[in-house]
Amino acid sequence: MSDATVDTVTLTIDGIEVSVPKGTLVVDAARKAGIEIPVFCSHPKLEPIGACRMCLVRVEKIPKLITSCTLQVAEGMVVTTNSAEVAAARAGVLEFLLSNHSLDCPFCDKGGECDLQDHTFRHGVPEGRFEEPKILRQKKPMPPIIEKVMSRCVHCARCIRYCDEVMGVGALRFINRGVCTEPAAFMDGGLACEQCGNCIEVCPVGALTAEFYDLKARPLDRKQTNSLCQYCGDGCTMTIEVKGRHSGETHIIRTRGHDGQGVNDEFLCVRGRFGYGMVNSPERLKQPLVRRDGELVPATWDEALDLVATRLAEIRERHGADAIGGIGSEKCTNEEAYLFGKLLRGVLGTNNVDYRTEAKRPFQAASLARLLALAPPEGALWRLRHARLVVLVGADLTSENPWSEKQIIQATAKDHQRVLLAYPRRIRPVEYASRWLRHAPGTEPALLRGLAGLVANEAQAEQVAATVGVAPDELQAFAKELQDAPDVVLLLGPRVCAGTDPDAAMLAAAQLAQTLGVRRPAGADGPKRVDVVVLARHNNTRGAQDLGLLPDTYPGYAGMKTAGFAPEWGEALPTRPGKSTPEMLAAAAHGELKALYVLGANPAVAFPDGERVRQALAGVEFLVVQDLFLTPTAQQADVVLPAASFAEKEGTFTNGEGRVQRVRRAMEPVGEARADWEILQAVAGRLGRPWPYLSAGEVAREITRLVPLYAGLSYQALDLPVSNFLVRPAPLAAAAAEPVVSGGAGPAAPSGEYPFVLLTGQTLFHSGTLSPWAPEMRRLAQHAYVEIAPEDAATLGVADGERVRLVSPRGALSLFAHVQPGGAPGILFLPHHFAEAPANVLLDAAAAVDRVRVEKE
Amino acid sequence: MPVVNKESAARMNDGPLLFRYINDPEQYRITRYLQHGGYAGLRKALKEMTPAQVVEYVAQANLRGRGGAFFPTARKWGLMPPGVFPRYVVANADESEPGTCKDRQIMERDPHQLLEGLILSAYAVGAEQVYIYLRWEFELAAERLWGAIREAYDHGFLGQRILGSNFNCDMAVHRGAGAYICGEETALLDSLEGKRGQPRLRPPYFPAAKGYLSMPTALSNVETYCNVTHIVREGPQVFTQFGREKCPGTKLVCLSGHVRQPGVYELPLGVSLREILYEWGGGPLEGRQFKAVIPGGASMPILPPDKFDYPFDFEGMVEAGSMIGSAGVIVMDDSTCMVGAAMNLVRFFEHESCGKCTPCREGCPWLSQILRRIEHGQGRPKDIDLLLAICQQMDGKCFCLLGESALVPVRSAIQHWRHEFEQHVAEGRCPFGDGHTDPGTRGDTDEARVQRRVVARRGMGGGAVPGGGCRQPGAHRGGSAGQPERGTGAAFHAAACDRDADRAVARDGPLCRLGSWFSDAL
Ligand SMILES: Cc1cc2nc3c(=O)[nH]c(=O)nc-3n(C[C@H](O)[C@H](O)[C@H](O)COP(=O)(O)O)c2cc1C
Ligand code: SF4
Ligand code: SF4
Ligand code: SF4
Ligand code: SF4
Ligand code: FES
Repeated sequence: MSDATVDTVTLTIDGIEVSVPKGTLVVDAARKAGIEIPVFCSHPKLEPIGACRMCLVRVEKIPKLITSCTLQVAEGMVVTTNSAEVAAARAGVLEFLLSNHSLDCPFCDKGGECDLQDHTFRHGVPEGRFEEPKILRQKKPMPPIIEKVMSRCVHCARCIRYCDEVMGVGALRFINRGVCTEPAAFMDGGLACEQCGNCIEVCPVGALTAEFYDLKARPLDRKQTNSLCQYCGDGCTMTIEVKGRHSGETHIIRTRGHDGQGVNDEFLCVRGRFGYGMVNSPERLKQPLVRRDGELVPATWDEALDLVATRLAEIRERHGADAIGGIGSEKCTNEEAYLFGKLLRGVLGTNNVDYRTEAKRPFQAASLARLLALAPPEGALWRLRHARLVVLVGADLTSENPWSEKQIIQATAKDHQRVLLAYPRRIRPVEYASRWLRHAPGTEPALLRGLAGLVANEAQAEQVAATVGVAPDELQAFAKELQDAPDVVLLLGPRVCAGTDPDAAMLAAAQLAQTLGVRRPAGADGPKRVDVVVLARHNNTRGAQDLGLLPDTYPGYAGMKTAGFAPEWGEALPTRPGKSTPEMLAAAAHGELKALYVLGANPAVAFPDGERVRQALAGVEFLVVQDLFLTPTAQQADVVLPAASFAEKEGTFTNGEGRVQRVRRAMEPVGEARADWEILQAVAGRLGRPWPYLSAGEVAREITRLVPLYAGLSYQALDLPVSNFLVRPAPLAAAAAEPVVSGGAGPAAPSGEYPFVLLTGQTLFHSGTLSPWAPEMRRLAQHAYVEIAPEDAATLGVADGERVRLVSPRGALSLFAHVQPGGAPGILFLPHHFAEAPANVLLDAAAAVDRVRVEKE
Repeated sequence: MPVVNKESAARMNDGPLLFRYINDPEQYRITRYLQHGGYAGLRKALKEMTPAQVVEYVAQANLRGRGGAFFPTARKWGLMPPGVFPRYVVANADESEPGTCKDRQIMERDPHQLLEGLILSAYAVGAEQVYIYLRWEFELAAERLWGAIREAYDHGFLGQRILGSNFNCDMAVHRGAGAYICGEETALLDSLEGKRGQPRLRPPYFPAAKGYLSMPTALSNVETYCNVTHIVREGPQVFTQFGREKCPGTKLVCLSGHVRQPGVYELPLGVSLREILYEWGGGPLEGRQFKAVIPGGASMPILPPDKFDYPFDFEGMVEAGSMIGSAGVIVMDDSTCMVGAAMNLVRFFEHESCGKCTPCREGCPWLSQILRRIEHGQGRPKDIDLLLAICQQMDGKCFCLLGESALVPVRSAIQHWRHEFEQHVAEGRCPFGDGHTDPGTRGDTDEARVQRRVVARRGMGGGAVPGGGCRQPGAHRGGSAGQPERGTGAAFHAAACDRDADRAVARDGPLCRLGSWFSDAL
């Protein structure tokens, strides 16, 4: 896919002739010829180092044996891997490696899946000649999570190189030397890093392990299921490992990536690797609850479902269909998102359906479709790895989309990619971005419009710079580089698409892309390539959008055109756009919305102005919540239906780049929990519309039939190593509706009583309401905190770790202060979704920029 | 021939080129250096010669690198890709090879000679920045080099527009952190960049192509650069008048061990080993006979007396079955136990192995464990062949030459003195008496041994810890420290070391080198 014209080279390995692209390493060429050369330090994703000497081969005309992992193929090269000489070299290296190895395989996590065991079995000799005392060393923790057992280390440096080359973190280095060499954190202490655990994954032996997993299972105890991560929209493939298939007491003991599988090719971030614990949580809902005399009490499924159906039917009867609304989830599967829309639109007859629970001002579906049509056809993740210039606006990539970020980190380190960043806070991309526009919070729309104007030579840098609060020459240089780059990826994060004026921002982004696209960089022929990538925060944000959990469109960005769905979903489908989440909550507060069906969402903690949300939820006559946990939203419900987690059901997620991938059931649902699609089907049935699905796959089949965007999808085609089913709305679909451009907001004037701008968002360790239920993630980020710039902390006399009280016109919160070096004075950052300190109580749904004051406690 | 330090009986001769003024105690000052014709070559080059002509001079002189491999220096410079800038000149002053102490004398006593050669080389290759990568333990040399650099700046030999020309050149000393491997050129460069010093993957084969910060870098030994000074000052013929045709010039020969007059002597290449041992070394000690010689530091094969008549230059030593290496001639007489000598040499490599590749990291300690057992009378008949088998398992399979060198003394000791190994095994003791048992290691628990080793191995190049650039050595390298182990090759001549060595290293430090007595003499 990379170059159309790759030269091939033909060589002979053990008498077999193979042709491979120029630059291929001999070890890879051998694999292609079906010849396995054992390796330790060589790793497909890492630069070769030739350290372990396991892969030595004989190559004609080279005087010594040579490492096949570092040698590039050459025309006519003759390689021998099956001679006695090579076999002796391999056996020798293995004998050396085992000489000071603890050989505690029965007590090693890696036992049974260890490269050292496997290579020794195949290439070693049964009897070692090492009879000296071994140099053995104790297990050492590298807190908080990772442990190392150096007596098992083969010194391949994969852990160090992965952390350097892919993560860009560089948390590990070798210390000591000779036989006492060991990978270690700074001063051989704990790891202050992203805690991704990829170092464990790439370790060929059991030298690194996670405290959560250490000695908990043997390979044979585990049932492995290939599935997807449930956190961000990058859509990493992971293997879920479940223990207890013999006892029935199942729980997840580990999740991991696999080499060569999925978009992530083995990578998982900390959430993906250690965020599984919420599935095992004892707090999971295990049976339906209904409210009796003001209390939520256990009920049978029949009772609960009957109640839901009767009450919804009753309310529709009395107040009309539009008195009912539904808030869906960007975490559920495509099949479930689709059925939720079908239930509300087709069965209940209302377009009041949305998945967005944080947006103060929701965008129009057409704005989104317009941008999605500009997505790179080969997939955003691949593109990010190869683009020459990436412009990152409105995303804290490290926290929000870790794998997308790692594409960029690899590309900037190895391929001379440049990154332009526009973000109001100091975030990690500042480290590798070539330019950083620290614009005023909330000015993303103005910035994008200004950039579009600047590259079209229609705007004044001074004017734009003043509006967004940056220096004019910095802005000018930013625009210039954008103009001159041979190809550009415009990467848009949540602050753009869920910002204060999303339609204006999204239109401006589209215009910017179009203007750039027709501009050629100096000396280039043909138009310049410009791609737009809309980042997805959650695992199925994209699926929720594609499958119509938006009040102004049916699935596939069909707008209000019901034609494709009419007979199948119901006779008379609603054709006026429905209410968005803010509108539904407002209607509920005013008593207009009588029933609210919440599927896997948690507006009580997520939506701005927490107090008002709680009142609104209390105001609806009938609230039904389907969830894994008794969330603050569920606590207010009349009926709570226990749902199966991502690990307990089948279906598909669509990641941010539009790739549809399979989620698989790794274990039985806990207690009486059921998959959301099954629950929805049961409710529809009780409302007199029996749906015929026997499996999630049958729902998918209906989707492929009715939603042209998903036509041709089949579960089989989504199989590993990586699904290549990519959806992208046709450009025409977007052109249908023209969003109205309102002016972008300028920097908000500081106000005396509330001098600080408050930004909220997610962090690496907690991305939403699910991760805090995972004890492993809680360990990494225990307490809610607010980030404050050192200057502000000094003025207020607040020290790091002290408690402060934040007061806004809407509410107040008490939490810990975290003094952030390099933080921007006047701006506070508050991670959301800590139930004990819900950020939303401070936020004002009507304000463009939220402001607070800080009080010392 | 003046004797510098009568007590130690160590000396340096007033050699024809590099050592002409080595015994002048004031030579390290620029005034004296100028009186002795210093910087005339630089003046001449900047006024009269193009950079290409300087390269041509060095080519005509057929100057071959004195770091050990004798690769032609001008040819190395020619490998620098044209048009790629900035480029760098680096002096390898990490001199850590056991038995080698020549660069140190120059840097302590005649540092301007090195500076001039470096500036000339920078001019020749088009570099504007020079680094001297200096071995950590060389305190005095660091002081003298910095002093000399300051003087050179003051006199306009360094800095902007040197001597009114358009040539700019800056120079700095970078001190290592105590690792022998950082003398290997690619490890040196990593260390110089602030990383942990470990050899880099080749290709690129030469730092000339991709060196410091991945830019073209001329990297040579201190002695090599000093030769450049004389070649430019007086013309190539001053150099080619010495030595044999293929290998012209003089060589600083470091003579240590069981000889009457150890020292560093500047001699024409091609003199015989015998002449070095008898005429310069003054022959064996009272009542003793020569038994073995390592001609080029610890990394080279040991030669028995029947090879003493070969000419001492690159080709001659290859013919004799060894290598000239760093010209650290280590002499052992018939009081030396060859098992003990091999053990000490291997322990040096075990201690200095950087840990990157399997055969060296694991092979060295294994060899040393077996040798220690044999030496302590616990050898078994099969051990001797096992030693050879381990050598075979390392040979040609290590990442760099350190590991490849480690097996060399073992092999050559067994090749020439197998009967001594057999005698140790048969008698269950060392036939040379029990004076050279291994202090501190017998009776250790495993845990204690590990602890000891971990402490001893902390020092490594540059950034041994993440964050890079840590210059805090936990210990000095074993090669510099170490108490003499009596009765074993080359160990006896070392006096106390110039730094308080970590006790752990002192016990683990296998082989001591000459050195400190020179600074004491000043
Ligand atoms: C393990 C090892 C240690 C070395 N140590 C030194 C040293 O201390 N000094 C030195 O000049 N060269 C040393 N070398 C040789 C250098 O790698 C390099 O070849 C030399 O500095 C080149 O200089 P030259 O061209 O002047 O010989 C060492 C090589 C190896 C493999
Ligand atoms: S957990 Fe991730 S970031 Fe931390 S050391 Fe391992 S690879 Fe690096
Ligand atoms: S800990 Fe594992 S990955 Fe790291 S160097 Fe050791 S064996 Fe390799
Ligand atoms: S959270 Fe995102 S980046 Fe992390 S493992 Fe899951 S899908 Fe991958
Ligand atoms: S041979 Fe020894 S010193 Fe060289 S890379 Fe291997 S372990 Fe390091
Ligand atoms: S796999 Fe080739 S040297 Fe390690």
